[in-house]
Amino acid sequence: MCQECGCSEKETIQVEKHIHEANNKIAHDSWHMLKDKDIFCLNIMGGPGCGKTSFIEEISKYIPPQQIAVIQGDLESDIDKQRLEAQGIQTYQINTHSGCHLTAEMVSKAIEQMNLEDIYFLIIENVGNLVCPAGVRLGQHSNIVLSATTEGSDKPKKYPIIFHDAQLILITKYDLRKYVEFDQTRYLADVTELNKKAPILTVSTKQKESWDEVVQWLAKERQALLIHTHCH
Amino acid sequence: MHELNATKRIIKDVLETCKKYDVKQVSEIVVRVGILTSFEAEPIKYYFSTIKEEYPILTKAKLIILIEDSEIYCKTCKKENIIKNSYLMECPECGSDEVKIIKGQDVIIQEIKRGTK
Repeated sequence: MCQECGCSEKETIQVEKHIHEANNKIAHDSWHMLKDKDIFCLNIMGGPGCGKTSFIEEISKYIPPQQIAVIQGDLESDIDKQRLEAQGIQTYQINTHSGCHLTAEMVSKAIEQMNLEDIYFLIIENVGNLVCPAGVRLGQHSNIVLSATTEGSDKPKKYPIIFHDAQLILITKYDLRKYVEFDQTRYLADVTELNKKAPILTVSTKQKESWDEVVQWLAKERQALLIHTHCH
Repeated sequence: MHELNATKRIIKDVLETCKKYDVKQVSEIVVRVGILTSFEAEPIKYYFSTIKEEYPILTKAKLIILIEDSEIYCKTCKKENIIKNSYLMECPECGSDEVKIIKGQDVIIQEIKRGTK
């Protein structure tokens, strides 16, 4: 009862509302809609310049570009969209301006604008950032985290959440490891403490064969999704 | 920057709740922030103190942030455990990493207290 006037209105209202409820509902719907279309949706995360767009370019050498669609997230510009379209990959650009990560609503609206017929892989390239995109559900079936040797081997210790949530971790620019004294032993130990399940692969755009395992992982995970009956 | 969107979301949800329960003035909002969200309490409080001025119903409102530890359910030994200050997701009982996070990843508006006009 209200202590001020004695009326029956409760002073305290128990709310128990998750602020990401609306986002997660949209993400849930996208997850199922994409699965029903046999589309494997990946959320690619990593710091600026770690090689997220190069990752897509490289896998498009193995997977026909017509089977890949990309939602590209950047604060400004369509530089990466142009890069990917030059490879024949359908790309939808989202400019978040001040937003530090994509949301399920942004992704859902982008999907409405895209032609996903005959698409096997929908790749969401999130805004370059190792903090904010972590834990935000977009409708993705898997998270891939990229970190470059040039960023240093301390990234898993400094940004644990994003590594914890990954289904695949790629150490990029691996050909440069000796020039930047990348401490791989430390990196692997730190990641393993956070995430024992995600495979950790090393890749470089200068080492063509380094992408074989990545493409195998993509094919295997897509197959697993198609026979999977429950969402995450 | 990260906390700005979360704060706007909190305010939007609080305003919706106020409308639903016919709250004319808010004196206090209690929000639980999971340790695994990577949100910090201070930036949320700062953004809240600035944005609330746009809404007369919130101008007297105090925002209380409670940091919530993560809690995991172990699929191996079927026990629930609180994990304090750690991102290492292993069952403290049996050491299994077959665990499911059941708390600590959310931002939850716990309660709203009515104020006087």
